[in-house]
Amino acid sequence: MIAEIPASGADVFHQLVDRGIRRSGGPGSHGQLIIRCNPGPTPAALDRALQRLAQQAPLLHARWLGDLRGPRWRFALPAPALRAESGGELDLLAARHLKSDLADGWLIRFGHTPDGLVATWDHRLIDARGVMGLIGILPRLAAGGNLDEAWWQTGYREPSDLPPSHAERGRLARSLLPLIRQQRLSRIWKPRRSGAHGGGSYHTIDLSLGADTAVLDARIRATTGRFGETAFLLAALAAALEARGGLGGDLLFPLAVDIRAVGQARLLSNHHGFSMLTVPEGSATADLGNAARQLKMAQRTWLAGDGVRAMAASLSYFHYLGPRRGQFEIGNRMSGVWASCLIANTGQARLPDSWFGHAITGIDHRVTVPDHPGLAAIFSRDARGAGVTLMATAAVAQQLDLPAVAAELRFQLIERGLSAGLPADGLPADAPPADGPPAAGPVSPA
Amino acid sequence: MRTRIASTVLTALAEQVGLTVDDLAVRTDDRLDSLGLDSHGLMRVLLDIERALDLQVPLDLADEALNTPTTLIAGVTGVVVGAAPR
Repeated sequence: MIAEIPASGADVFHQLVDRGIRRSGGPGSHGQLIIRCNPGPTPAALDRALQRLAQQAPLLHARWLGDLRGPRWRFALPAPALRAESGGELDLLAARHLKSDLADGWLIRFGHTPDGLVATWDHRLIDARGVMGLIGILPRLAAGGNLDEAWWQTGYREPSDLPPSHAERGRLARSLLPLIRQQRLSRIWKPRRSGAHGGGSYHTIDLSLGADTAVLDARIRATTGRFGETAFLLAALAAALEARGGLGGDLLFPLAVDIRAVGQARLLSNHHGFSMLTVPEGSATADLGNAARQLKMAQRTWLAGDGVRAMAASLSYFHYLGPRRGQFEIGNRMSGVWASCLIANTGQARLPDSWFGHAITGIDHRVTVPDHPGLAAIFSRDARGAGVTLMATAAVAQQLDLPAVAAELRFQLIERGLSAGLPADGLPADAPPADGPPAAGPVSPA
Repeated sequence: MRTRIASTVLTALAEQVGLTVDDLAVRTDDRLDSLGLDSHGLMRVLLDIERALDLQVPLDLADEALNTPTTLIAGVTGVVVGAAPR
């Protein structure tokens, strides 16, 4: 039996990003989670879980259709067998999966080694929060439990808090314009392109702060206060990019925000909006603390203007724009995304402490990035403490010294002096002089 | 006024963390992050409180007010009525 369900506006957004990545030689808009767990699930338990997932979520084997009937997903019932690729070293397996197309028509791909699990997925169908939820319930599926997701229901893929009437939703979408107008008029910094295609390769650096997480937390509380983490992280990233990427405009960060209602799973969908946050040129270089506080106020202004919902409402109309106008909206006449760097702060990992009976020791995030901006930073927290993954396409990595950016970012996060007027106990007692970072560690080409 | 502030805070917080006000009322000493509140959620709670109380300036609360619903109520009360939190 063949069935179809409509794609959401967020799916269409990622379809546009997917085209841009493929045009530059990449595998499409993919996300990846690397779950470090030793030992992980047994091959037999994982196989049982994936077979049950395939039976209950044939949408994971859907095909994208985009024609005059509108973008939609077509899938067959029942779905074929879903199996994990086994063997090898976890990071090498993950790197290979991120570079290559997903296999056999599946929109998600699993790899399994003695050190853990890697999940790589097509971002046109599902987001990181959704995949994290699927990974979390794999033990339940292995034990014969159910997925419990009504993914076939009308409205499942759409944000539930948007107005149902087009008149109200249109008004909400139009309210986005005052919020983004100034951003659209200012000059935005992006990494320069080398002119050569990225060829689908990605350079990745993982920074894990470990015990220095406490230092970071003290600096956050001294600058932006409790619950002010994101603003501080982005200010530090802005300062690092300005120091190592060269000046030339404001920095625009589209911060991905999960828009699922509290208690709402929606595991098989894209359910995120964006806060478009600008760091004025030079501000983070001049004064890190002040830039962080300004960013916190910018987040507040965006929320107060209902910017997240307004952008979600705007995205919901991407069905009708068509690819050319849709690309214009997100790329400002260029292929890619209108931003300086793709950003996410996933916060504390939302997986159980015990997974298949064992502790998860770390979770790493990866994405494929469009050539423009060709740069992504994903902040997260897991058993290792606070961390950030920096990613760059090979074309951008040739222009931007990624190890130097990573070293600079570490310096900005935990060592650089904060702005004047802050209490001294906001800084680590043995803080070194603010004379620059040490050399960066090795970078792994994906 | 204090009663109205407490009710407003609990209502805004309950909506954000997906609890009824009655359920939240018995968890007023739980940490806000353990109730599921993150930075995005806290901003929304404070915005909702500002709108409900018709405050003219943003709520700028000390870190000590951001521990539990009890301290949040005390912090907002302190700002709005200018009284020292108990």
